[in-house]
Amino acid sequence: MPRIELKGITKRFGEIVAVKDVNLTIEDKEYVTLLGPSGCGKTTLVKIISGIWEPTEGEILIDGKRMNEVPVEDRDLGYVFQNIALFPHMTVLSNATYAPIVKDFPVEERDKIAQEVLDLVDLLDRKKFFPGELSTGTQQKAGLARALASQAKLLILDEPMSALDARVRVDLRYELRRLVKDLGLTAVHVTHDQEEASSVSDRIVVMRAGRIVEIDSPENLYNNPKSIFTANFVGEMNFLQGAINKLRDYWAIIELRNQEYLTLSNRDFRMGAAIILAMRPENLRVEELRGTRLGNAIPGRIESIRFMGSYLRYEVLLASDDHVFVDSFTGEEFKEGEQVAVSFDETNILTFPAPREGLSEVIKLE
Amino acid sequence: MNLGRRALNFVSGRSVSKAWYAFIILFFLLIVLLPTLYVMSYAFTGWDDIQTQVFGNKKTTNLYWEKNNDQDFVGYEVHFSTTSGFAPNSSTLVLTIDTKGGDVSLEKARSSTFTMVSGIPAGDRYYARIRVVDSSGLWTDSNQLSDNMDAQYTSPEPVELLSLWVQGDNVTVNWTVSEDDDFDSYEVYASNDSQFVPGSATLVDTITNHTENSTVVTVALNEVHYFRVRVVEDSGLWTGSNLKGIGVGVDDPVDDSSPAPMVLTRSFSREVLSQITGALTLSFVVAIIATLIDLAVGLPIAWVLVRKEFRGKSYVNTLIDMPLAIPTAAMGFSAALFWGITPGIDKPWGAISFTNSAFVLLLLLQIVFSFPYMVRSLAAILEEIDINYEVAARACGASRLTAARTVTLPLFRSGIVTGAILCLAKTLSETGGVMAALSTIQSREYNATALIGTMKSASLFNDALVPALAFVSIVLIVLSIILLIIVKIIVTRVKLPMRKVWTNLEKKLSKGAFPKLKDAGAFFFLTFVVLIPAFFIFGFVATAEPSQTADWGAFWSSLGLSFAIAGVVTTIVLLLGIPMGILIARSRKKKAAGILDVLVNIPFIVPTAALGFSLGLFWTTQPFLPVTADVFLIIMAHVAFTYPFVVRNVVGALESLDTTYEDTARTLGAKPLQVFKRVMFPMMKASVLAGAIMTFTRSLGETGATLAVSPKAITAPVYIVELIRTGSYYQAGLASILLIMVSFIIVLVMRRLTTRGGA
Amino acid sequence: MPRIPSIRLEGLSKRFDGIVAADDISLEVKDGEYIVILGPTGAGKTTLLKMIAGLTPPDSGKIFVDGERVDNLPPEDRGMVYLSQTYALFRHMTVWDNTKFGPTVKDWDESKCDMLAREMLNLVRLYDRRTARPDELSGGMKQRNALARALATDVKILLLDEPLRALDARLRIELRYELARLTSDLGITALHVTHDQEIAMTMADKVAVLRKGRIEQLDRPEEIYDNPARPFICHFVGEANFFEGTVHSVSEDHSELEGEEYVLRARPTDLPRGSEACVGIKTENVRLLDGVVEGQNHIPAKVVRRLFLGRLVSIVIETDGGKMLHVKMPSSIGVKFRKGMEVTAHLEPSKCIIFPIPEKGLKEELEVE
Repeated sequence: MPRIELKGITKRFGEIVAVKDVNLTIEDKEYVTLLGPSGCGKTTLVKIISGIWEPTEGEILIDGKRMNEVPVEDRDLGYVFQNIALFPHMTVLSNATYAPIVKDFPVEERDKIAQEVLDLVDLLDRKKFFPGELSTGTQQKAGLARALASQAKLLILDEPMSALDARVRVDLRYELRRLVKDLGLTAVHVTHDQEEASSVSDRIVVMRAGRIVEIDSPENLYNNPKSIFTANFVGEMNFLQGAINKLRDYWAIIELRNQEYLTLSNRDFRMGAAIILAMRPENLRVEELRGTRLGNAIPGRIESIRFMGSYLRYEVLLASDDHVFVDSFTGEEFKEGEQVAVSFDETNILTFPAPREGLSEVIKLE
Repeated sequence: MNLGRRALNFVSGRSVSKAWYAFIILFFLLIVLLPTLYVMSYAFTGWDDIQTQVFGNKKTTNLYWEKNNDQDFVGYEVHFSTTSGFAPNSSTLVLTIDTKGGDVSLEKARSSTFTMVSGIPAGDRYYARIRVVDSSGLWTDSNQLSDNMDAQYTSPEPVELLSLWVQGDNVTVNWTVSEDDDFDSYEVYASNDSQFVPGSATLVDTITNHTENSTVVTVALNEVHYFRVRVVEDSGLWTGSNLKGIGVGVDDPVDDSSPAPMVLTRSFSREVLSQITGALTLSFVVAIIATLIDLAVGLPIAWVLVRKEFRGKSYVNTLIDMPLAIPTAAMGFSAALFWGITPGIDKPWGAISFTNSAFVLLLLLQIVFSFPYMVRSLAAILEEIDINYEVAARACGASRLTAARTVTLPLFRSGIVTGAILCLAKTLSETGGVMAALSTIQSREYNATALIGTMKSASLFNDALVPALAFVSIVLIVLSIILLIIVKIIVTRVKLPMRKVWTNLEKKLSKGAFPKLKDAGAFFFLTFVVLIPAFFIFGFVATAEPSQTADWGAFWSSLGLSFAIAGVVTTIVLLLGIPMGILIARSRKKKAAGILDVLVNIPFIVPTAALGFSLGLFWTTQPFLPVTADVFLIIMAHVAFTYPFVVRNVVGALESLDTTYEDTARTLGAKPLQVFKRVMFPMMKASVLAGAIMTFTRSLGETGATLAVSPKAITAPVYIVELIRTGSYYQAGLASILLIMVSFIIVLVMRRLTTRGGA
Repeated sequence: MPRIPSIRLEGLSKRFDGIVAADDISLEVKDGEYIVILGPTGAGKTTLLKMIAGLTPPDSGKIFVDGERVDNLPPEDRGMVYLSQTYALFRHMTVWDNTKFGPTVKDWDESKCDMLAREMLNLVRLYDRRTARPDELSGGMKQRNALARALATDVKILLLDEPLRALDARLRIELRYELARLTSDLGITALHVTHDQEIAMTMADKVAVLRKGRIEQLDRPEEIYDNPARPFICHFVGEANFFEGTVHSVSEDHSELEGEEYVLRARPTDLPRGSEACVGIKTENVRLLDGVVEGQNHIPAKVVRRLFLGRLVSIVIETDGGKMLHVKMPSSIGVKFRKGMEVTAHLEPSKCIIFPIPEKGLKEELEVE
């Protein structure tokens, strides 16, 4: 039953440090995703977990056994590739039978296993096809079947959706989550797509520049990120910059630009400290601008309105010179150029101390 | 719109570019492909037509006969007559083949069993006999041959007079049985004159039963009698035997005898034929074995080079490439000194010197030549195979060996085909190195290309070798192409056992000592079988006794000629090869482009000696503008066999270059010519450069094609081969080193010059 | 203010070895419009773009720019720039030289070339990196460099082939705003090809849905979303649940579909009674109620799985008849539905779109690739 422990893992390629001092434990039957922008070290880490590369420093334990020197073929895992990498000279069935053959399963079991895994991904009717004859989505399902056929309890998914159309990804992620949970596998999934990560995982490991930024459940990462980077990377976020203007026992007043103010409960602020306020577009509301302002609302002008399917997206230029997006599921009728108020629900506002290197540097995506 | 833009518009116009491409294709077909395969036309004309050729109002013909082994051999005489049957006084002596007063060794004269006779009036029918003469002036004539091969003009094969036996005044005459179909009778002639001058001989007996091969004649006593036996046909045509004389009743018993009679034919003599078949066999057997060895050792090395990172990898890469830049004559000499027993000199320091077998030496030599080609092509294809296939297999639980065998190798077939074809083509083609090596060990065996080179040199003095050359060339071309097709079929069809896995065995072999041993073995092979023999010459020159007699002026001028030729060839090939590459890679007509692609590669698999011979034949005999200038012929030959290098490289580069670069440039406003100049060319420059370097060094080092078109022009490698032939090993060594170093410098300079502009 | 060009396509068709890549495509792009061509891989999107650019000759059909035929002109004279999804930055040139490429080959005045290059690089915030080479740039920078290079040609038609595909998901969101803003600020007519319906929704003035070489619908994003022309579009743009059955009754303001389990009320239809039909409803339009609630278009079900997507949650429910339905709702509402809960799915009749059963069956119609 695979339980993976990474202890102080560092990987260098010449001068470049791809992964630095990573500590991580993945529990048995857990679905964990490594999420981060290109070059954050997530791929390197998953290759170390699977035994394709050896770490420069640190130790990797699977079920308590040191596995550093054990090559990929002896780690007992299934691997799904970004570029799918189905063996092009073999049919779907032969691909699915490959692991049982090379693992020397009893002859009578080999075909049975292959049939089973193809049935799981609903590809039995395509088993005679060669990979080149299938669409990419179907190919990746076959790739999944090939990985499952090794009967391993650990499944590595290395950006499995990257090569696929957006719409196909949506369908496949249901499938992935279902299979992993139904079969009781431990899964390590790599992606740069936060929606994909959120939809499949039990826990997400957010990475940046070779280090782990944060590990948490998708809900917590979305609703209560511990860092500005995560706040921005996992879903869209509006950021406002302000400073503590008044400080009381239970509340604080934050001054934004142009003498606009918001009131928040006191979260151990220091007087005069610069802070960043972060809020999700769907947690803001566009309201009619009334003569008197009630609660936390800042006037602004609607710059644009975009139809997003199930909701509308307003881009509002606030009186504080900040641009914010507001997502509305209810479909109020506002027009472009209209003067409105944007109201803030205090409980949905996250605050972070302003970083020294500046906001844009911290949330940089590449 | 300014002038430049207007000019651009003009050349970008469809009709202009169409005309340009038509020119490129035409050039290729007429100047490269047609001459390369011209010799094949011989395969479709009758043998007689080849043997007798009419030029204007004169004709030439070829004659062959068996080597005469008479102890007192002096020479051969060719007699022509305009009347059948060689009526008395009607024949003319047209050619004498002897030692030329000592210029030619007796053995060589004796072995010259073929000749071309030219200047025969085209309208006349000719009749020829060969006469072999011995030191006492006695002679024997062959049968009569005519330019019309009808039996009615060809006299029967001669019988050999075996013995005379005297009993009183009776002489018993014995001869061999005639097998002639139109046999009419044996006529026994006797004369007192050993020369059998007309009128002196008398018919003493006629026998009409061809199995009755002896007779008893009564002769005058106390005289010396000479006998010949004629075989006479129904038509009256006859052939005389050798002559024997005997004293009847004389104290001093004469035992005079003229050389054994010979058969004059139109087909190659047994010597020529066995030489040809021997050479061809040697060529193909060596090529196949060398390719198999290259494949076996090249695969692990290519694998290591592509799949593994290690210190000094770039050096290994350079080392493997180095033999590609070395002229093969120099390398052949070097390897021959290392492996072979060199008569006449002490074993060089550090040499293995274990063999004087042409076969063993050629095999080792060809491995040195072809190994880099194998490694390069295997590595190039391996590079393109996604490593994820292998990782995927291993993630499924396959050991490294299993993964390689069941996944990578099947995907790798095209690489193996390319590698094998390249190696075979290279080994079948190699001439200079082979000639250098064979001369070094003073071998009497030749492979096919060396035979062409040697025969071509010999044909300067003996034109009758031309048909033989044509024959070897045709067979070489045809067999090469057949062999390559077979290779392709075998490699693409043969199934590897895919569903069978020896898990534990393969697992064991994938770990621990075995893979290391395999890699170490491969690198040991690379070092000791390829690199050291290739560069052994440096050690040889450093340790050998210097000698002073070299004619360095001749060497430098040969080097100058080589460079001039290589420079011109490279320029021509670049100018005409790049557009061809673009045409093939970017044409919308995929089928036509595919056909062109195949055609372009033909000169590549035609052995260069055969190619050179064919090309020489084409240019000197084509009716429009026959050219015989040596330098021109050499340049054309070199253009033909280097053309595929540049085209292939351009096609390869363009196929891997996404067309979106060109598409984008076009929509950004660039005319096609601007796209080429600013986008395509800079991006494929490295490949073009590689092709140019390959062209230059191959032209510089080429011996086979050079010798085959013109044995008189002395390029540097030809000069080295000559030095080795005359036993001037030290000078040959020095010249080789100079040639190697100059090649290297040129390669470096070219690389520097062309990279400075872009990077 | 220079004129912004319009494009008109008439009956463009193209086959490759018998495979239809474009089937009689006609399309009108008004000046300054941002048109997104949306379709799955293999629909013929790139072929269409390349035909317009003059890089692939169509088998038949005409192309007009501002009313003038351009299909006989070479690509460089059509007044449009093609931006490929790999960006095709010339790797032997710096950012600066890449940007200047168009003006230079057009042989414009040196000072004008420099001016344009500088202006465009400033516009995409890359002037500071002008000496870098493409392989030293990040994905987003490459995309911006390619854009600057295209804009520097002063051409007013942009043909964008999946310009965001190679980028990280999060960056894609960021850059789509930037791209849309730039083109509208510069008064550019843009044709953008993508497989990503979210990009289509957020960027397009009009969306053309392309499938198997045919334009299935050309309309504003709202219309594509709310009134899809056929089941495929309903399912491809967003996600939808489908019910098959026969038309049970038809009236002015609604229709009724009789399926195996239920009678569903849907939008009105022209289909005759008794004809085979299907009803599609977007996953976002399915409302979930706690427990079993009787009512029109109410379907009792059980929560099978819940996927958290961030802003939304996606919930899979299983009806009593074993049919799986997908439901999407804002996370704030969705958190309360847990696996195994008894729920009722409410399908608002005005959101239930009724279609005739497609020729080749519903399953094949709904295949998204």
